[in-house]
Amino acid sequence: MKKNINLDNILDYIAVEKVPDDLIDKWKAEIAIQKERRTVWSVLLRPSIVFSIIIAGLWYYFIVFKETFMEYGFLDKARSVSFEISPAVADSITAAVSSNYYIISVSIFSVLVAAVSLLWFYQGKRSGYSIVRNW
Amino acid sequence: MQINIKKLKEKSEDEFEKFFKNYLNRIYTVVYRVVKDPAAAEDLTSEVMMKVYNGINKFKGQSRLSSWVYRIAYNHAVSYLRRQKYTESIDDYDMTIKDESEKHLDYLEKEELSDYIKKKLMELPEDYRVALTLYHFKEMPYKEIAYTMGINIGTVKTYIHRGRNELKDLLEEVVREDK
Repeated sequence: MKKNINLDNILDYIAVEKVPDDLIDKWKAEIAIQKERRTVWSVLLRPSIVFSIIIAGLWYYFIVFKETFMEYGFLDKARSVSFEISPAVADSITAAVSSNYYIISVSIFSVLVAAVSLLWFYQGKRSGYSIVRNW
Repeated sequence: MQINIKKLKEKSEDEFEKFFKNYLNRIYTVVYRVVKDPAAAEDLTSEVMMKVYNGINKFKGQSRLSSWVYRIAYNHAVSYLRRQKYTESIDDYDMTIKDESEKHLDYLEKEELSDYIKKKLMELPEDYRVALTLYHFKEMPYKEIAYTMGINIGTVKTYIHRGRNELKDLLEEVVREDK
């Protein structure tokens, strides 16, 4: 036996499916995980850390190509310019470039900058001021 | 319900929750009507929610927000189908529906009748059933359906017309439409 129906009414009635209830909770959990992941990346990508890596890289570059720079006199020029600014800066450049100290100085410098950055970040977080949010 | 798009763009979770509470069933429906698999539709809907949350700043107001979200849902579901090479399992699923449904035609009440029509709707070609579904979301004009599906308005009208006729044919044995 056939039934009489109004197809449009029935299609309106069945138009929307019911979604499982916990989907919004799952989404919230996913957002929390994503935020956590982004925070970690934000810390790793902090300018002071990135700059320290770049500076360290440049430092190594100078060391590796020290001879070349010596040949072209760039290092001497840098020393004489920095001597005009301050003898201490010139001394530190000399010390850093000298083969006995460059590895140690680069390592210490990088670790120091990274430590200060992390301290800065966590102190800011503890005091309720997010540095990451303000970038 | 009024959704504050500015707040959404500022990633206000409360505003997103309000939005999803209102539209999640429909987002899920769009996905489900494409993929025809409730479990996959649930996973894909979760992914769509993340896409909407992360990509809300790409919404430039060229359509309604809901249509923009349905479009993401539709495209995501269609991409999933393409990846899955889905045809064999769909054929199996359709046969099961037919067998189960047709046993009980004599005593179909409203809920059962709705389920039966829903199953028949799922037998329509993908484009027809999605267009018909969006059309019966009520608030969606042809223009928004066309935007959601990435087709023109004429094609939307054709899909809805053909889908409706095919559905009537599929239901012919059981129901007679009121004029």
